[in-house]
Amino acid sequence: MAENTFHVEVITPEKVLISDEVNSVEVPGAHGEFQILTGHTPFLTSLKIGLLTVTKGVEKILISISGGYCEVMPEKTTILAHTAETAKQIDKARAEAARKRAQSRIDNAEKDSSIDIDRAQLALLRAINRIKTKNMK
Amino acid sequence: MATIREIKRRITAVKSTQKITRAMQMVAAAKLRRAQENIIKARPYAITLDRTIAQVAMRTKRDVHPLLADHPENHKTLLVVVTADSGLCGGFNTNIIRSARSYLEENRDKDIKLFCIGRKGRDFFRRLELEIVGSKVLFFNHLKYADAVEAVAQIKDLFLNDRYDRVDVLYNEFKSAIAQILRTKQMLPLVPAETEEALTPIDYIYEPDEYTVFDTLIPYNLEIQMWRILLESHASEMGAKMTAMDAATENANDLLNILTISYNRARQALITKEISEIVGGAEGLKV
Repeated sequence: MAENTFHVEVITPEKVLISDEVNSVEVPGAHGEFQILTGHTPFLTSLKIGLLTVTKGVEKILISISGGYCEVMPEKTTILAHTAETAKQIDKARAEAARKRAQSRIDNAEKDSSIDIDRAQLALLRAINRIKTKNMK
Repeated sequence: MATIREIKRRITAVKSTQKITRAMQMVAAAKLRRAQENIIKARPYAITLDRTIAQVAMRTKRDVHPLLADHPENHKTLLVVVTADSGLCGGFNTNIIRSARSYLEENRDKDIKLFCIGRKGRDFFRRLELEIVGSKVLFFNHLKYADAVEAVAQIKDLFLNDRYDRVDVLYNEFKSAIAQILRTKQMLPLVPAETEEALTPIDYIYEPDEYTVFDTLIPYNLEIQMWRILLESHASEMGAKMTAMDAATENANDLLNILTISYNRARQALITKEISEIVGGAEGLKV
């Protein structure tokens, strides 16, 4: 197992979420999801809102991220996320409430011009992503 | 010698000043704790992001993006000086202003313009009648990420439109409550990482493409770095303020001790004088 591991760091402005030797990472890239194994070619991409899966041995950690950057080097991968929460940390009720709020803002956007529809849509995506991550567990 | 009433009045004055300095010390201590937590949380992200970009920049052609382009002939520099908005924090502002002045002195032959963050620095350089091309003041009390975004937007704009060759930032880095380190950091153009081994040109794969990645990544990094600088400076300021106010409270105590002694002496002298007057008077009556 030790042969096939590489170092991964998941860092957000708030804290260092993961800094560990792992087997594989699945990342939501801007142009679609991809998997990183050890020895991956150098790679730099922006990330979109989505699910990050870190596999270490038999253990799988699901993390919901809301965009960021990912730098891949053969020996080391660094994921700089704007926000990141593991499935355990997600508060389902709060995520659900955020989803409803964003949805209602989008629904009202036609009547109320003060609503920023792009922001509301992003908020909705983030909320849905959190709920999805929570449910996958 | 000062009269008893005068001494008493001074004692009252010193005591009320001491109350103020003590209160300010406690406020600074509370703010320091919060600022310290913030900076410690923000550091790993900012450092990693900076290092990542420096490493990527090291392996990229520098003309890919204007914010990355090298300016070998450095003619025009923008010096960003980060001071505090308020005084009463010991040598905090003085130190940074002094080092800004020696920076200006050392680079006399170059064209250096100032960008001031924090009211103290702006007011000082304005009095010196130096040209200040931009400033961001009076926000440290409610420091938000948006402040960093705004400052970066201004600086980036100046860099790209007014053809600066370099942007340096002068700020205080937080070390502990009683120690700050003065730092000068080159913000623009981006400094690629130094390599110990011969440069291995690695072809990164960029998604979506090189320009787009840098176009969002570099400004984002600038914001994060600026945010870190503001947090560092704020925490340092609160540390300096706490130390300064602690010293002031301590000095007030010393002063009070001296004043109390001279008050007691004056009182004793008065009593002695009165007694000797009474005794003298009584002696006079006996005869």
